[in-house]
Amino acid sequence: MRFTIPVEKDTLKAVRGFLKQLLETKVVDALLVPMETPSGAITPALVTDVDLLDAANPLAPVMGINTARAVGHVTVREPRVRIGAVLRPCELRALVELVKLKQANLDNLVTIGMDCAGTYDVPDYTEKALQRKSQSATTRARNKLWRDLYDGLMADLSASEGSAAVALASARDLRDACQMCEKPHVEAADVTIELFGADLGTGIPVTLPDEMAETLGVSPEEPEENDGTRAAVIDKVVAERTRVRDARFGEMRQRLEEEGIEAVLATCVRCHNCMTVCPICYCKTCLFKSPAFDHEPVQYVEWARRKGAYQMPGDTMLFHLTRLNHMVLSCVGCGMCTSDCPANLPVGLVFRTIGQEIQQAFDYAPGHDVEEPLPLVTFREDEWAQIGE
Amino acid sequence: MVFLCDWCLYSELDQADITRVQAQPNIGIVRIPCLGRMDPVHVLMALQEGVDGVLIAGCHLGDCHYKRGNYLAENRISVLQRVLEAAGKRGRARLAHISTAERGVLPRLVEEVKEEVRALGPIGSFAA
Repeated sequence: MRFTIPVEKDTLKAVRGFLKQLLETKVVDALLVPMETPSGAITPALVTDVDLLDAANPLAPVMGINTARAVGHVTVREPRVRIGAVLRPCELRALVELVKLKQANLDNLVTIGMDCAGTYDVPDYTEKALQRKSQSATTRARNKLWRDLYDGLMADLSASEGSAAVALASARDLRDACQMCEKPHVEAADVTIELFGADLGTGIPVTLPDEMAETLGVSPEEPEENDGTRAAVIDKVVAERTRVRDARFGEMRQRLEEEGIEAVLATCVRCHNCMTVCPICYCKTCLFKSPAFDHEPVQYVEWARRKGAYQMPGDTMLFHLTRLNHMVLSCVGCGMCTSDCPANLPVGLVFRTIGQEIQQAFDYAPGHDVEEPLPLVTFREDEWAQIGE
Repeated sequence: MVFLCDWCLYSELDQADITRVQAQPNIGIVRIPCLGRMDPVHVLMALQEGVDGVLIAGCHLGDCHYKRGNYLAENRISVLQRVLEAAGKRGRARLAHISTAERGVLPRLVEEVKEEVRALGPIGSFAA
């Protein structure tokens, strides 16, 4: 069913009101949602106290972590209560992959997806939203930031003719991954908060299951039929972002061919941040954090003798290539790896560029559908047929 | 470097031993319990060590002792080959399915891989 949350000037307040309603009417027992800490940082928290939702801010355009992993932490085992999770589209996609990897569970989970105009890196967000003289100025700046971003995107879309392969003006300072995000809209969630194309000054359209609407006591908007505004906006955003993406992929493909992946990732400092923040890299102990690569001292000397010079520590490319092998089919393009790389390497772009070809070869779209099996652990019926079984 | 599935191909080595085939100094053999045990990292580590080419051989599809080990390998090695291609190392890893009954196929294949790898030249400072 589709209904509209009425907005009186403040969009954020309206969204908070809706989230409170979910908790009050026991649609969910706990809500995982981005919250503002007293210091102004935005971090997901599992909330059970309705009053605390006054600090919820799922609109804040910042992404410090991919929350899908946190959803996994609270759903992977019993006892489960009914949990709601407010997620961005890339977090929803990562969650789908984690469910397939058996690191998260959709039972008793209500996914609440929101269309995403894009996010800033944490330092950029802090600079834009927090470094104001007074507290009230900070709050105003923070709330205005999302609205400016959203309105800017909509303005860009109506103005653009889709010619240049550069990021839209409103997207210039966004995270690298967001600039080329071709899936910024919610594809599938239990509750969809449809921001794209909405007149946010008056109301926010929401699609949700009928029985949930009954519990909430909301009535469908008139006319209930979607007028296609959102679909049109999505088409435009996707077209623009895809253009940017393809241009970046093209540049990276050329670099990979001319310089090689070793050159592109040469300044890697082996902090393993990309693996730590990757929602798909779920191993409790990564092979590369295990003692597997702590060799005997004599071994290093032997390598140095044989090769003339041996890079220390020597497992940079081994690490990246192994990680590529292990998670590239499930890479949802959230770009946390790029955001958290201290050497400013385009990790996400490298992985997505190579990943696109591999995902296409396996005809697999990560994060699209929980029913779609993981290519690495499945084989098709017709493979059996080929050998006559 | 040749990775051999214990179930189908180790007998081929026994046979070679019995018939006193001369061991070749440039071939290393690693015995694996099943193709399903192959993680791409094993191949990558071999290549990093300076091995110029890797052959991974195990049972035919449908013949796996553990039912689906070789299917898993099929998918994993397919991803690996594409990753290697992106890393500019095309043709360094090959997967083959051979049964116990196929005498002589493995040596022939090893020669084939050797020729291919020789044509590609030394692997250089891969993943150093």
